[in-house]
This record gives sequence, structure tokens and C-alpha cells, in this order.
Amino acid sequence: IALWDVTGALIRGNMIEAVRDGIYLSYASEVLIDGNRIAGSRYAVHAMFGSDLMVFENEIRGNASGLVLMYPAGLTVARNTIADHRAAATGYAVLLKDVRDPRVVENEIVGNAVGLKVEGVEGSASEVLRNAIAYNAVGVELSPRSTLTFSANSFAGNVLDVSGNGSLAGIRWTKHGVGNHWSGHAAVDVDGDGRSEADHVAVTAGDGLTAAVPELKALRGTIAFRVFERAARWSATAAGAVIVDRSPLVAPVLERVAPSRPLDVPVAAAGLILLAAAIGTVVRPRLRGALG
Amino acid sequence: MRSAPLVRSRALDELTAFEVGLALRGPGVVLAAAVHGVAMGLVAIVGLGTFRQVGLGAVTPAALGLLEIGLIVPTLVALVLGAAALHGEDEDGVRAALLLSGADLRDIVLAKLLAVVAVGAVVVATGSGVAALLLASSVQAGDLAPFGFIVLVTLLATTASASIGVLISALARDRVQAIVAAIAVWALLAVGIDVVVLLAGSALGAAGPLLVAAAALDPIAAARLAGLIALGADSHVLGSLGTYVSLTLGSGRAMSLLVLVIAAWTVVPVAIAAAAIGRRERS
Repeated sequence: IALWDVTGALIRGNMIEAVRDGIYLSYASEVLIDGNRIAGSRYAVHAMFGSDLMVFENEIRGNASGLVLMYPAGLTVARNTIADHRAAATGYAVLLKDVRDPRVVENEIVGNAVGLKVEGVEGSASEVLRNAIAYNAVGVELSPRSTLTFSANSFAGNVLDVSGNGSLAGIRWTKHGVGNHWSGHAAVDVDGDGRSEADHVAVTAGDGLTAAVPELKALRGTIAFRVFERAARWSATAAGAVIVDRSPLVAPVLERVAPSRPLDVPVAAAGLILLAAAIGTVVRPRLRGALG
Repeated sequence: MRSAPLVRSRALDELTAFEVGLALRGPGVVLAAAVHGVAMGLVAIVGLGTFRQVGLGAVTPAALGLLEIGLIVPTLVALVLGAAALHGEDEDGVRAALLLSGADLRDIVLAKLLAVVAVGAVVVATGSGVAALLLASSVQAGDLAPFGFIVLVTLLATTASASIGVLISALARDRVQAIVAAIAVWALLAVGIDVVVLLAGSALGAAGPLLVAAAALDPIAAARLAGLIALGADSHVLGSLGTYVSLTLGSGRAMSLLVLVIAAWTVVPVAIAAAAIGRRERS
């Protein structure tokens, strides 16, 4: 679906698969993209310029990238499921480039290479609120000099929650005293108000290193890399931090509920075969020895 | 009348069966398998939520943990047992008896290696089996392919570690020296080379050649990289060099290349060990 120089359009309830751009907007204004399913394409939604765009309650899975939104003014991305974008060179669930005052609200952003990529976002109303940003390689990738407020989001199971280098002075991690939920944060909630008294601080340590020397990303997850990060965290100051959340939440606001799965018989069978082989290999010579 | 190769093959089979049986009856086998089973079980339990969400076909902290922990115990066990393999014989004189009975020296070294590999395989199978049983409620049959490949490269890295252990055994003066050297080599392969790459890479501002050297010099690093590619690692995990190699060669060829590196680390050390033992016996 491609719209050029259109005002007042509704794109609703379509199922789009295996195309170049699922929905392409160029200089479109007042457009609602609602309740579509877009999968297996290059970009699910690709918007260039335009204004007042709303992307609402779509299911977007397994494209090279999900929402690629460049240069629009006035943008709301809400209540979408954006999952499984892992293309080697892209893999962004949501890419915001040079957008003014975007609102990214209550989305499930799960299992992508990068959950939210931010380049050149500005405006005092720019917000990322109540999203579940989970199980991505990188949850949020921030470029310098962006202005954005994060509040009530849940960061869970990402290899790296937030990546960023350069000046991140325009990023705020609380709104009206409400921070975000971080699965890696050891919360201390003495007064029981649901907010941790301990700040959540993540330093540039490993990330700064891999930003300077990208090849070293291949060591992320190794014992050496973890020790390096831990040592840097001990010696870090808030000035060198990517994240300083003064009021992290004890529990997630929007939690992605894991789908219940039945026992997978082939996987269980593989486990049983491996265990039986191991036990049989150890027991047989002992029995043989015992029986003479 | 049987041909000489056939007779030698049967002698090797019998010797290997004897050594494997002896190794599997060793006191540490059950303990090592249990430790690895518990470690893998804990990683699987901690990661259940993640695996239920995205399966095993994505790089997550849980999947990285499974890959990393999966390599640690079996490679340590294989290196230490490999290092002890030939010195036990020096002390109890079994090797001398075997040589007097006409056994070939290369066959003895090969049988020792296979015995250690058998123990390593038991350890790998126990840990992987426990993990698979726990993950069966969280992942799907489609995840069996990356899981199977990770088990395979773990087994190959364990075999390479056993081979390096046998080489240490052949070069060391006594059993204690061999075991201490094996632990030091394991620490170097499992952690030390990564530390060197991290420090040197950050100091030089480039790590491409260092990573290639690490993958070539370290079978554990090669196995880890192959496992990462099997998990579908992207540029945000593999880094620019890994992505370039993976895209240029294709994932399959990149994994095959790393498997070849691990295979080389299995063949070359045991060949050097056999030559070194032969020289020592002749002198």
C-alpha cells in the first residue's frame, strides 16, 4: 500500500506479506494505520516526511525492519506488537529518524536486533511510555543530541537494555517521578511505594568499548567481557553513564505475558535420549566390572 | 590368514575399549557430569521465561549463558583428564606392559584420547540432556537445530581440549605438573585470550585481526563463535567483523570454517603428543 501526498487516510485490517514495503507513506498527513498484520517484508511501515501519523494496534513480525519513520512531524506509535526483526544489517523494530515530538506508547517490542533506534528526535513532548521492550539484542539505541523522555517502560531480558554514546543529556529516564522497570535492577523499596530507592545506573563500560571497537561485540556474553563491565561499573561515575534512572519501578507496568506452550515432545525426547546415553555409558562398564 | 591392518585395527579396538571402560569407571566422571548437569539446569531454569518468549533461535542473555556455561565444565574436565592420561601409565607401568605385548605407541595415545573424549561426551550429554528436558516446556521443535549444533560444537571443543590435554601430558615431567599446566591452559583458553583481545583491542582501537587470531588459536572461542552464529546472532552481537564474515561466507560456511579450526585443534596436538612420547620412549 503506497500513499503519496494524501491527507486523511485510514489503512485498516489488512494482511500484508513478503513485499518491499508493507505500507509506504510519502508526504502523507492525518493517516491512521490500524489493525494490520504485516510480515516477511523489507519494512512493514515506511514513512517519509508528512505529519500527524498514527500507527495503532498493528501486528508486525519478521520483517527486515518494522516501523521506519523518517522526518514526519507529529507521530504516535501505540499498542502495536513488533517482534522478530533480526536482519543482520537492520533489524530495527522501530526506527525514528529526525522526528519531532513522537509518542511511542504501550507497544510490545520483543525479540528484535534493536527495539527502538533513535536518531535526531527532538521536541519537549517526545515520549516513550509504558512499553514492554524485551528480549532484544539491544533494547534502545540512542544517538547523541536526541531529546526524549522514557517512563514506565519495562526492560527485560535484552542483551543490552540501552546503547548510546556521545552526549545523552537530552534523555530523561523519569516523568513526574516515575522511572522504568529494569529486569537487571536490584530494587530496594523500603517505603513500599513501588519505586526503588536505589538508582538504576548503567555505564558506558562495555557499550563504550564496543562503540569504539565494534568487532568486540563478538565477546559480549563471555566471562571476560562481564568481568570487564563489572569492573567498569564499580569505578563509574554518573557522568559517564548511559542510564541514570532515579526512580526505577519495582514491577513492570506493561509486562509481556509468555505464551503457555505444551511440552514439546521432540525436545523432551532429545533430552531423554542424551541423558539415557550418558547414564548408560557410565553404568554399563561399572556393571560389567561388578559382574566380573 | 588375517591382514596386518585388520589385526592392528582389532588391537586398537580392544585397547580403546579397555581404556574407555577404565576411564568411565573413574571416580570423577559421575561428579563432573552431575556438576555440569546442575549448572546447565540452573541456567535453563533462570532463562525459562526468556526461552518461552523467543525460543532458542535468538541471542538473549539466557542463550548466551547456556552457550558459555555449556563450554566451561566439559572443556575443563577434558583438559585435566587428558593431561593426567599418560602420566598414570608411567606410574603404574601399564604402558610398558602394553608396549611389551606388541601394542603400537600411537594406538595407546589414540586410545587414551578416545577414553577422555568418552568421559567428556558423558559430561556434555548430561548437561545438554538436563537443559533439553527443562526447556521442552518453553521452546519448540524448530529450536532443536540450533540446540543440536551447540551440543555438537561443545562436543568438538571438548574433544579438542582432550587432545590439548594429552599433548600437555606428553610434554610434562610428571602428573602434578601436567594437571597444573592443563588448568592454566584452560584458564587461558576460556578467559585469558578474551581478556587479551579486550585489552589489546581497546588500546589499539581495532580488534579484527585479534579476533581472527583468537578464533584460530582458541578452540573454545571458535566453538563460542560458531554457537553464536547458530543462534542467529546479528551485527549487534557478532560485531562488524563477525557480521562481515558471516555475510560474506554465509552462516553455513562460517560455521563450517570454525568447525574445521576446532577439528585441527583435535588432530594436531594428539599427533604431536604421539611423536613426543615416541621420541621419549626411544631415548
